[in-house]
Amino acid sequence: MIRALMVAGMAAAACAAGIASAGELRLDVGTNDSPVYEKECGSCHFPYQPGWLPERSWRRLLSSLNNHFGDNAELSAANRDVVSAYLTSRAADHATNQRSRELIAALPASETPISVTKVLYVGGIHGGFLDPNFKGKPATKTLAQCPLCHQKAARGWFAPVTYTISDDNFRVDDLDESNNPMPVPSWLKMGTKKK
Amino acid sequence: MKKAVVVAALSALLTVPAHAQDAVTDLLKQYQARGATRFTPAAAEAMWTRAVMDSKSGEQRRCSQCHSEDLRRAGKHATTGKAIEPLAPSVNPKRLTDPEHIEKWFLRNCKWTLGRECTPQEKGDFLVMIRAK
Repeated sequence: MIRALMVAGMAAAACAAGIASAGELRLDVGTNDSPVYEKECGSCHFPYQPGWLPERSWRRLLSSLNNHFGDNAELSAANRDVVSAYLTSRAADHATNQRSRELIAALPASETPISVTKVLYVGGIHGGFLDPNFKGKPATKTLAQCPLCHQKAARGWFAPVTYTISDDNFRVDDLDESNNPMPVPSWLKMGTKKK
Repeated sequence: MKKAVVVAALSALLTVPAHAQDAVTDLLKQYQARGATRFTPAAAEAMWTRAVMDSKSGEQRRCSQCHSEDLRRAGKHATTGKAIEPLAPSVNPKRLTDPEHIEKWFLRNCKWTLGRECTPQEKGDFLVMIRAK
């Protein structure tokens, strides 16, 4: 029931924003629909949907797979062509969903980032998790594991209502405040679990 | 047309499931056609733990770094920490069943670890070594 209401609410919001087309919700990046891409890239890391980077970024990334963030991730010629066609044709600058549009709007045209998690639109909002002062759990070195918190990541849902950060995962009282210029106020700690 | 597809699907189901033996035998034949001679597990064993300096990063790299020295155990990716399932078919029967998968990872991992592609001889040595685990 609650879910039905939520979906109805979202549909209404989408219509109001004029971003629903052909009865389809287009708020978020959506699911992948290339089995080759999911197999070849998703066997090592979260298969970011094409709508997370502009076409120029995907092209740059695909031309340097022999040094893919320090790893060799070369594909067979046939698979590279399939993956390339999929990523570039569905890239953020060609996508009609709201999230890709926001990402493109926030990205300077002079930049060609190849790391989804370092795109300002993504990295900025998550920056605090990578701060050494933040000792949250899951303690993550990079932001490359979307589904740890965004349970619907594989389905292309990254909206705030679809992530889970439980008290157990991120406790305010886990913070090391010894060199924190802005100590956590005591009222914020109330109700959090004691160790 | 539809009938043909159904028949093909059924016969695919009825055939013996992919087996490490078949994939490896085929690949070994291909390697021999490209100049490899007798394959020896000992050569691969020696190579497995040999450190190779990567000139770009200045770090020592070896196969066992990610795959562990004991092939029956799970390994761990050197940079991401991602778990790598055991290579030994005796504990992980999915291994050595897909020639395309094998070739893909030979290409990537030989280039990352050794800084070059492996020769047909080396690949064959690795396969007979892993197959026996």
